[in-house]
Amino acid sequence: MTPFHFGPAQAQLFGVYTPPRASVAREEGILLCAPIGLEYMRTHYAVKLLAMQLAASGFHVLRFDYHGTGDSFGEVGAGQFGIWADDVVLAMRELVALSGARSLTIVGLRMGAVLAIEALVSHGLKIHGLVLWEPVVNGPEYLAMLEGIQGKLADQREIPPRQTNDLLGATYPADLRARIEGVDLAGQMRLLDAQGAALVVSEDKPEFDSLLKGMRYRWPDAMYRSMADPIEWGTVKAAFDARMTGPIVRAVAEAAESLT
Amino acid sequence: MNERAIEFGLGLNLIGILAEPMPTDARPELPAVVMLNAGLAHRVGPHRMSVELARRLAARGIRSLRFDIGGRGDSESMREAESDESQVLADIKDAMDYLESNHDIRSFVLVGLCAGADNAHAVAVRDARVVGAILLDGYGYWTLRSYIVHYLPRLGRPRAWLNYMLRILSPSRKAAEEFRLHWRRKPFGPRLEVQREIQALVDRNTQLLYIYTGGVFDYYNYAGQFGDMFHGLDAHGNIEVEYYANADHTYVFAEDREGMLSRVVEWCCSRAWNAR
Repeated sequence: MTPFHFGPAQAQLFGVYTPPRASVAREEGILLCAPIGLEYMRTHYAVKLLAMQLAASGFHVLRFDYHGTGDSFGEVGAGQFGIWADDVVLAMRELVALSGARSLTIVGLRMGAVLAIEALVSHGLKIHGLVLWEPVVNGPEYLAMLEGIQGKLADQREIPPRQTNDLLGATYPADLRARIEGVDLAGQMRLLDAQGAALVVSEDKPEFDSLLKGMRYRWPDAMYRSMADPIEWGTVKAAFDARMTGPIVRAVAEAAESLT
Repeated sequence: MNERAIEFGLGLNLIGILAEPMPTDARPELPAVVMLNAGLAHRVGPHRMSVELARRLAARGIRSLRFDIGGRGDSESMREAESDESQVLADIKDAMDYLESNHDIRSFVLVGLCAGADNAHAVAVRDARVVGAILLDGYGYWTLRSYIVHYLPRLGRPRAWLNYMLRILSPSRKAAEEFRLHWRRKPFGPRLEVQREIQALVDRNTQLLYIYTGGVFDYYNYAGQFGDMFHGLDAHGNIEVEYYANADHTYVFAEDREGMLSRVVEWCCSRAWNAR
């Protein structure tokens, strides 16, 4: 596991490259796209576990922090959605440069799935496989969920907090919120250039059904796996749970491996 | 500001980010700040507070290291045979050893929130290179007044009485226990023992900044509780204490974070540090 910074000198991104176990090494790379905001903290350990499991299966794995998040340089500001999508592209190129991988698969968790798809569509890039892990499918509901948690925290204060662009300790500028509100993953599926795709979720939901239809229109054999083990995203207690783990991490690793 | 990822410790298992000021801003006479994990959260800290603190310190000329102890964040545990506590203390020592060996830094300020504060206290007691510590929601003990602050508003609430009757056990202590378990925090040491340790720290001129929030209302609930908890402690002017009643435990709101970070940076820049 190698931690490092990459990218332009004034806007470096932090990444962790996990090389494949030598005995089973493949010429394939997997890029992990993390969530944003509070969900980034909550899922950090799960993303690390996934990286280790995939590396043990022979993949070159890179995980990274978007601009203005984690240990990467900068702050979140205007135009952030596009900057983050560009970060995904930068990370793809970095992974190829580091590993010499001949093909790439992307795993996107929550908003990481949204950003990965935006990157691929807006840059017209081809990848081998795409795994959507508990993706944010409905942008307005996602924002409403964050606002709901924040509202409950604000209600616990004697002095109400000042109005800012923040949601749960992370900045969401107006244009970022607008982009999230416009999320349409199912509609973007037909624009993707990938050989296969998979959807791994904690539980069945109507929004995932719609997304799966879009995926199967593009890839008739798109894999779907529901763990029937709900992950609570929308409560104060769950939001501050420091770690997300469980069998779903193994299921995502298996899904990624099945696409190769 | 210059930041770079580093690996250190046994088998290079520990991962952190070293933040250094621009050469023109550098104040090498000041101790380096070492930021510890808050519970199981990785080194970035809740709401990126450790990153923000590192960058503000660098702008004021102060070096810092934020890193993951083994088993947290990106760091692997290499001392699995040891108890969790001894692993943690050894990893923090490794961080200071790395900075001493590679950067000739010999004095440190530890910063910790919650379990991180407990770890900062434990290391400060054991290692004289620690010349300061910032303890965010650190140790707390009930006092007569904290009972009054906690229970008085409840006396007129029938529900509170009902709860009391149903659970003869102290609900406040139960709530505090639930909080501790949620944040994976070990039980606080005996109050008198902790007081003796704090006294030993200030006697050797260690500077201490305690900041408590309303988020730990179940064990710290009024300004001035610190003095009541540790009655008789002779601080020699080496202890400062703040109570941010309106802030939550992780400083989720920007204004609370801003207040805490500004206070911490000013404290780091203004204390009279012993040169080493």
